[in-house]
Amino acid sequence: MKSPALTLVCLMAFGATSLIAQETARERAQRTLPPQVFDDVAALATEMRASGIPDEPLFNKALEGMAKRVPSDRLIPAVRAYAGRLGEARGAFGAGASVPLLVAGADAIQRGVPSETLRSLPSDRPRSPVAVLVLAELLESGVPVDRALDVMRQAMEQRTQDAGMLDIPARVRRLIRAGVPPHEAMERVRRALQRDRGGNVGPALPPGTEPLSDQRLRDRLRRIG
Amino acid sequence: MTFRGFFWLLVTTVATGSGATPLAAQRDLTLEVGASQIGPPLDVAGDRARFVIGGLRGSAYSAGGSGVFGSVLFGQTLDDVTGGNFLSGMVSASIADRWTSNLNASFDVRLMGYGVQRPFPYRAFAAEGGPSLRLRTPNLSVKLSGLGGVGRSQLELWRLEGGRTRLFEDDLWRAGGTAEVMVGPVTSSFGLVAGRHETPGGGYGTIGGRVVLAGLWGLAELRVDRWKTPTSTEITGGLALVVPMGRSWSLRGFFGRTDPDPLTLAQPGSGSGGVLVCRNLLSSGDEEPPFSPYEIIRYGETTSRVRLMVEAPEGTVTVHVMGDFTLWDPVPMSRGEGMWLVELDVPAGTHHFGFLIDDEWHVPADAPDVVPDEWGRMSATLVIEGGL
Repeated sequence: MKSPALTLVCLMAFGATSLIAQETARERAQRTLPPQVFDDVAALATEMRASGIPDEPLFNKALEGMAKRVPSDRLIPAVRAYAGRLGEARGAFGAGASVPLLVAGADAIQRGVPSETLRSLPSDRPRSPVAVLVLAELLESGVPVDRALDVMRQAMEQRTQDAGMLDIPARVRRLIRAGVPPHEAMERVRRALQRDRGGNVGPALPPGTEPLSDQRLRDRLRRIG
Repeated sequence: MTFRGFFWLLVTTVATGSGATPLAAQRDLTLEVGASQIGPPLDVAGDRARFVIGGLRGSAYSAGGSGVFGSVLFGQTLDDVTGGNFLSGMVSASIADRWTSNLNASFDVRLMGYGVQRPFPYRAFAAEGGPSLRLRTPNLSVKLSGLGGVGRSQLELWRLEGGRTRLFEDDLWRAGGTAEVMVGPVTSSFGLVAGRHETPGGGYGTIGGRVVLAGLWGLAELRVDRWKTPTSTEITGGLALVVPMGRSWSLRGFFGRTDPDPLTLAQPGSGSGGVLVCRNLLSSGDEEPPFSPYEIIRYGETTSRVRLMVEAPEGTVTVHVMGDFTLWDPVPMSRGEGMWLVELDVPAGTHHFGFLIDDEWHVPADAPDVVPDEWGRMSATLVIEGGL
């Protein structure tokens, strides 16, 4: 290295970048929020943590409000309402739910999905935030709850990947835009999903063994000699 | 009613039976090319017949589940003596009614045609159909089917010394039913199938087992059946595979011993197999994918590489992205081909984000997964699942 000083400057710069990257939402909130607002959010986070609600999403919500230039007096009620939805999602998914799943659940509730519906998502395999997101999209599009849950169940059983899962509401919306009623749109997509897994295996290959194995043909060949 | 009359009646049923709703919206068409080998029946001396095969298969379904599935397959023999070449086709029309989310009723009609030129001109047509009732829950599927069919075969035989041609024609029929019980989720189910069919030559009874495995890798069905025919007892079955290879290509194959057919009276061969490479030519999934403001370029253990993109009006000076993954710190984006772009390492999680176009909050109107915030605006959502 030609210049040890330059190396040191580069290392410091890299270190600073890494430090910023590793900063938590709480640390950033402490650094950027007005002290009174931070104290209120921190007190709320402590209170919620006791009931199993993670604090990272709460500090993120406060930072979001700041970034969107929301007045300070409207920040705390919004964070409190968000904490309530996270708690509702935790009630639906259980104590072991991950933070991404709780955030997705809180979003779904914000979009009008009842927590009972979230609870109805199949629980025999890990519930994915993407599945929750897709369920909310489908219900928002006007798809009946039972059909939406049916499709989600099918997609989860087939272990449909995230991209494929996210494609479901997009396909439904496209059909609805084309004038198809929501429940019919959902049925078409469900059918397509079934076909995607190779549902139509079709007849065994090759078809039959005629005419060599045709019993009557063989009899006649014998008779004709 | 003559067979010919019945045949055309069924053709009309196929063409108009599900015409109440447009079929075009749900359709696909696949080109298949491959090779197969057919063994003669166990008690018949002869070589295996090898074919190059190719054809088309497609389907069109209405919203209610009614629709048509059809396939046509041509085979060209690789041997001069046995097998000849064949052309076979099948049309299956289903008129379905979904009574509840778990119970489905359908009426299936199948038309089959088969013809070869060598070693003897042989043609067979068959039409069969019947009602089915299927109960499906997440871990149980019960299907009861009734089936009736008629057919006709024509065979031209000639005696070498006489040089005369004799035409044999037969009317065929069958009537019966099958019951199928499968247990387990769609990804791995197993079950039993039993059936009974009556024909002019006597009764056919079958009982068998199924194992079906499905996943992202494709679908495999393993089946074993024991058939009691009027003349013998046969064990048939094998492995059928469908393996998708990307969005448009797939591999399809069957290896094993085909079933006797109570309608055409075909006997099981000693063993057959075939592989087809399939190219999807048309599918309702061909529509343009919806716009997404992000693209996950590479998944990682803790962070994934994500490209974020947004369109901005002509004359825009600055565009930033900000969200949970930037701790709501605006990150500048670069002007690209008609888009503003930036690539970031994003940790696993459910993230809210949006764009600042000349310092104005913006979320694309057609972006999927948009969620309202607590202050009357919208945010886009990005989910990255951990450990992928």
